[in-house]
Amino acid sequence: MKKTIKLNFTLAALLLFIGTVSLMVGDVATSPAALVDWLAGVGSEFHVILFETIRAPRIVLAALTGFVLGLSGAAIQGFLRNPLAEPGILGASNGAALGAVMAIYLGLASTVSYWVPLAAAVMALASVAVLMAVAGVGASSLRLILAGFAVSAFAGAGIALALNLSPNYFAALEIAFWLLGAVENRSWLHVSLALPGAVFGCLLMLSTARSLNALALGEEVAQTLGLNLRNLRARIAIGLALAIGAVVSVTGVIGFVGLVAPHLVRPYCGHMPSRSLLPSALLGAILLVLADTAIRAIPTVMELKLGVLTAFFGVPLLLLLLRRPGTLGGEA
Amino acid sequence: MLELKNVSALTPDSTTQKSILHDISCRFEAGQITAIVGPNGAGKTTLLRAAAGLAPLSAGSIHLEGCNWKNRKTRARNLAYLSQFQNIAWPLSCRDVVALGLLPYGFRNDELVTAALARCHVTQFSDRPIDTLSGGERSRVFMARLLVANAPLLLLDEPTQSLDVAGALGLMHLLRGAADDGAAVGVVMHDLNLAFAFCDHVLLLQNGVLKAQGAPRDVFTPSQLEPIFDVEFDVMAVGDAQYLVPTM
Repeated sequence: MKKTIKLNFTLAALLLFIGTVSLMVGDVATSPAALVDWLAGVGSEFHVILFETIRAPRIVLAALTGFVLGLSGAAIQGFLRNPLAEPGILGASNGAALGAVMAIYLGLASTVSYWVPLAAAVMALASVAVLMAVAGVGASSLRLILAGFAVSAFAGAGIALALNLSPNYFAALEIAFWLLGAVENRSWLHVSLALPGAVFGCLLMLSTARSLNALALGEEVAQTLGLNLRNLRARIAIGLALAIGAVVSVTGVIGFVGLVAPHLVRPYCGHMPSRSLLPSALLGAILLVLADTAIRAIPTVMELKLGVLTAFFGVPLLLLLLRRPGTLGGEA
Repeated sequence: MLELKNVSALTPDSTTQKSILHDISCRFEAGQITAIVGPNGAGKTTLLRAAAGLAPLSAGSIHLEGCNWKNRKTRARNLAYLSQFQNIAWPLSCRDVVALGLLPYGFRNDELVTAALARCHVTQFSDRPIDTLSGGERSRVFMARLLVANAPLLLLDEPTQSLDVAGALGLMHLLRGAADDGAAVGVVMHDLNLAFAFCDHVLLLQNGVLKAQGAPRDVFTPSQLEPIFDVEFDVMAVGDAQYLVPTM
């Protein structure tokens, strides 16, 4: 227990440090002195705009998104007792993406800035409603996964249709770029749009910690330990949809963080599902802030998309993990 | 202690609902080991699952002395259950696996965990990941998980399967010890001689019907067993003990 608390504090401190350093990275070079001045409230107008309006929201949003993805990954892997599960498995991720794509396709993105996140959040919730209606609240895990797969595939088909029927190349490009996932040009409005769903969804997932431990022994034994399986399934499905829907709605689809973060922390938490929830979330936040910082530090003509970078670094990391025996778990 | 009155249960599949247990009445007494025996498909596991509150009843009722058996939390605090499939999803340390037995009580007590590990002779594996142990060692750790909370009712589904002779004997001695300490123990078994040697009461099932129940000496007779298992048995006496030998 003490080891886990220490790990959480270390990761939180690291996140704060990386987040602060990240404020100084970008096309416009800034000195630590300028940052200190801004933090003390005596910064120049230029630096206030740079830090407060441009960089801080995207860093906070990257941290929030990484936190949600890491936590969701740990929760869904613990729930399904499968180290290969990733947060989008129940369809909320693609559902949210379809909502955003529909808003872009209909030209709503250019009229009001929060149409895209709003449409995405609504569609994420709708996808869970469909999932629950098709599978039922008391559905088995297998039925839930298959129904999630169906919802996800249907949303994927909708996205493909929107791309197929897009009126011009620019519209198609806008949709494709949005799907790659990014935190650039995001404001505090985007953070505030994602925050309620993310917080409520995360709280729901964190409330399942003890149940996930019981589930490590199998569904049958877990029930004799007092676990209410129907209740747990509902909390996981709704929590995941709310949190993932909220962040995907403002950032787009970002892969691999939710899959990799739990694997990286699990050996340091004794593989116990409850103990790996918060560290996975904090590491997810660190990884995305690092990725966003790297994007700003890499000199490219066009800024790289966050989803592209996480996939490029996530895949080799996953392959490295696969080479380490016992890292993945699920083999006992 | 735990009493089943006229219990019937159906298959879980709603499309082909078929009766698995028919009108079964029996008791799992405190201080006794009750063996549930019978051929494959007799309904032994379903009876154990029904007793554990895992299989819904189509008729009858279950009562546990002094508590409401229908309440999920109360049941969890009075029962320790070992499934036939003892898989664990993650390579948890043995200490963590044993501590999971305390989940219904909402606290973690390291002294109880240490005592349970010692009782099952697995103290040396405390910090080892469970997936690095042999089958026999692993089953002792699962026993420690079962015994850690000193639950008044222990239900086990074929705990001696895949164990060697020493492992099976060691496990039965642990169950005997728990029963002697006052627990009611119900255990599904295929090894009739182990049941003969260690159990106080036997439930003999065939096709979901309780064909006989009583002391092992009364139930384990060739005339009771032969029509149920469709095998001929000889009874051999060695000292005070009796052994059932199927005719080859």
